[in-house]
Amino acid sequence: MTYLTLHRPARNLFRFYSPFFAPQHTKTDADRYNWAPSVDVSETADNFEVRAELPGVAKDDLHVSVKDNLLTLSGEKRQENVDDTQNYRRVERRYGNFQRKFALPPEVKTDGIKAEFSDGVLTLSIPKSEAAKPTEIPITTVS
Amino acid sequence: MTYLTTRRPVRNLFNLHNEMGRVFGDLFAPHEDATETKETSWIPTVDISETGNGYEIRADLPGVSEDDVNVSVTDNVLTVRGEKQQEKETEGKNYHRVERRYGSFQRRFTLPRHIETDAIKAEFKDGVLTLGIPKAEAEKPTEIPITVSS
Repeated sequence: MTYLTLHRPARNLFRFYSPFFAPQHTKTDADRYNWAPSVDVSETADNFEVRAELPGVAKDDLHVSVKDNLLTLSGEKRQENVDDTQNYRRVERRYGNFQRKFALPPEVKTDGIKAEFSDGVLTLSIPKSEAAKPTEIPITTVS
Repeated sequence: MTYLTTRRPVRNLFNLHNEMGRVFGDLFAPHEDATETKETSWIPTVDISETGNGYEIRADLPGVSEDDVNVSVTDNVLTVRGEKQQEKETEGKNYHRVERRYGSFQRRFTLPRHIETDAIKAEFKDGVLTLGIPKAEAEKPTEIPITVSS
């Protein structure tokens, strides 16, 4: 009956196989934050990339920080021009504070992280240190 | 045991809402049928509000290119459809985590009567599509001045 509790199988799979980029959250976090943006995390030979969906979030309301190898993405999504004359018939979008934390692998250059925000998607490029990049070893033939 | 099959409780909540809308004749009730949900791989979330002058629909479409969004009105049904394309795969890119949804999406809304369909405006900014739907003059509330007869 164990698998009946697996609500998000992919997340659990990930936690088992790699501790890096596994979301770090505690129960208190969930109480304090209203929503969590969806993210994609990918890796190339040179860097890691985190893309988070933050539609309607102003750039100034968005904060990215790194402390103790923990990457924190936080901010607030504000509801647009709310006034007394506006009657809401349907509210599906989520507003308020959000936060996500990711454990960075040890081989990243934290001071080289770049953040770009366009079309409601935040893209973080996290470069790997030279030591972590794969080096091609040439094979010589002995004749 | 029914809830064991409920994989996306929030969506079911919306379905309930839609069902209620159908029963009570709710304006802007989403127009979805079984064939559409098969074609679309995700559904954008929307807010709908009304002021004295018109209606406003805001849809979250993060990472969708402006050219990939299409808004149309036919027979008083407003359709927002398009496609969200995954960033071009580069050689040697490994995904650790994919939570975002990609592919085609569609949402349809029944418009109330007395709408100026020609004057609907669509704006796209920061991944949010805002549709301004003006009411026809006949539908706007008119203030009736009260005169005091002395």
